[in-house]
Amino acid sequence: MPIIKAHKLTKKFERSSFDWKNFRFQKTENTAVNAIDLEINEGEFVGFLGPNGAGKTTFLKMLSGIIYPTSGKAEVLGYDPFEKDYKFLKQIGLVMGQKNQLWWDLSAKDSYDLLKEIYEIDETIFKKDLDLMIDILDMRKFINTRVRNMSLGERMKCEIVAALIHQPKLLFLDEPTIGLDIVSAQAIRKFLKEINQEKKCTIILTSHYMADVEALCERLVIINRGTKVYDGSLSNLRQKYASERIIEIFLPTLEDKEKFAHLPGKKSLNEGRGTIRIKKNEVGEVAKRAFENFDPENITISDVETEEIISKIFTSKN
Amino acid sequence: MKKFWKINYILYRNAIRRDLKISLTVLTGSLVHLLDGVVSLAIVLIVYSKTDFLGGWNIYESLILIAFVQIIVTLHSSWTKRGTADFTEKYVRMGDYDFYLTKPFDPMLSVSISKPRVYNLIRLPFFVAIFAYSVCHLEYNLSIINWGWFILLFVASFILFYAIRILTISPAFWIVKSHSLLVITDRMQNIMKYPANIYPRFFILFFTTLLPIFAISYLPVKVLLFDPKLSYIIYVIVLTALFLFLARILWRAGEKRYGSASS
Repeated sequence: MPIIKAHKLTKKFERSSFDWKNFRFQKTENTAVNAIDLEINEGEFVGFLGPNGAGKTTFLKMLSGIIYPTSGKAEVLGYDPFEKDYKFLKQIGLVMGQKNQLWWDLSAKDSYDLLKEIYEIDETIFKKDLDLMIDILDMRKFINTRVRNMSLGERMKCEIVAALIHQPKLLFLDEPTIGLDIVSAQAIRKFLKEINQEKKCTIILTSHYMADVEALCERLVIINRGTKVYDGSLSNLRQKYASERIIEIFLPTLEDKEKFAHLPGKKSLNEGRGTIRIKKNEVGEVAKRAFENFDPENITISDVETEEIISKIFTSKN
Repeated sequence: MKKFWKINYILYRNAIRRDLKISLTVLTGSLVHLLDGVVSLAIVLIVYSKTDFLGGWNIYESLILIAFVQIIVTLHSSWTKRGTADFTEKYVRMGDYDFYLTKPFDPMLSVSISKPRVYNLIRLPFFVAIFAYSVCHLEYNLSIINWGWFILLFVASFILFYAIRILTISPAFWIVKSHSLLVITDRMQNIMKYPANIYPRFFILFFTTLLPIFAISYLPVKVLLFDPKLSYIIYVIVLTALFLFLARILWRAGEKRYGSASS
């Protein structure tokens, strides 16, 4: 059963300015989200991908009730998010990678105390859940450090805990791994996956990083220029849009390089490594010839990177 | 209501913890606040060194008025001033208001009380003492009724001051760089601290209706010291309800306009 229903959800930003040349007011309109229809079921982990200014964050902000739509309807957890019913707000959490809700000059623990009162969480449950999250995210050593003195990775862990302290049913994540090092990003991804699987928390994630989406999301929604251009699984995306596969061959000798030149397909050679991009239906034929001519240990066959497919989608739709 | 006070308790507790870590800032801030109060009082004393009455009020009556204004201003400056100032300067411009909108607590109140400044309370005991000293010195026979109405009007004045502050910060939803409007409430105390009848008739009319700062200061003190006219009391209460209602309406309209700065 869907817990999020968006019907023709649209957001247009209007800007008024005075044109001194013609001495009149001018209105400019920018459509950030254009009539998006979407349904998300309970427990899903959905990734929103799109280039800068695509409208993914605006869409997320409309679902969380932060901004009002220009037209269209949304129903989240059975509520109209724009009415900001407290029962609804107690069931959602929000993390924004580039903004923080924790007190800058205090420890995260002090901010959590405030959130406990705002969400009216029982003392025992609060302590138990907080302790658990602190252990999972390995936050014990910096939980009493001032937020301003934390590293970006530590701060983001604290922000995520702040958004989950009241055990929301729905979590909105806007670029939670932005600027993080690999280790911190991986720890956060692992934690989010656990929350999604064990607590059945529905998670909506917007990110620029394909690694986030590939590691976490079963479902992918691609938005470009305010319009939904793809909605489905990652594997379907590959099947639908990746018409080619890549055969890579290590070429240690001159003889190998000569043999490589006779293979069909779009070829490139870089530092003793030959790459052939080949249509999916021709892979069998080319792979057979490659295995006949080269040491099998030197051959790898792979899919085109998802990032490349998505970038292709953006360009083709443009 | 219990939740509101609990949240305030945590906010003030956190503010004290923060202030302990920035003691130099706190020390300078406290001195500035104390000095500001003393200067404001000194000006009134200089005026009274040249005259016995100002608008028919003697020095002790005026001291009660100035102390009353300072008590209201100080409480606001500790409780809501920084949060409301940050709202125009930061929350709307940077999009930090997003977090207030997703919490199960009134965002207007939440923003207002978000940045308490404990050290701003430093001048509170000073002005409470001046208030008490002046009341004792006057030796007026103030009845329980006078005090009862005065306390009610004190609460109403406090809310009215807050409502005016909200009305001055709400335009930030439409005009991002509107923080200059904050000067209105910051400068109001300069007018409020003198008896209303020293001002021209047009000023009195303006400051009791459109920008009703005399309803915050002059009328409550008049009700305490002189005959507690029911018309004054009703007027202040109705005006407070009206301004709070207008503030609420404007804020709600602003929230619909809020575009949330992108991340």
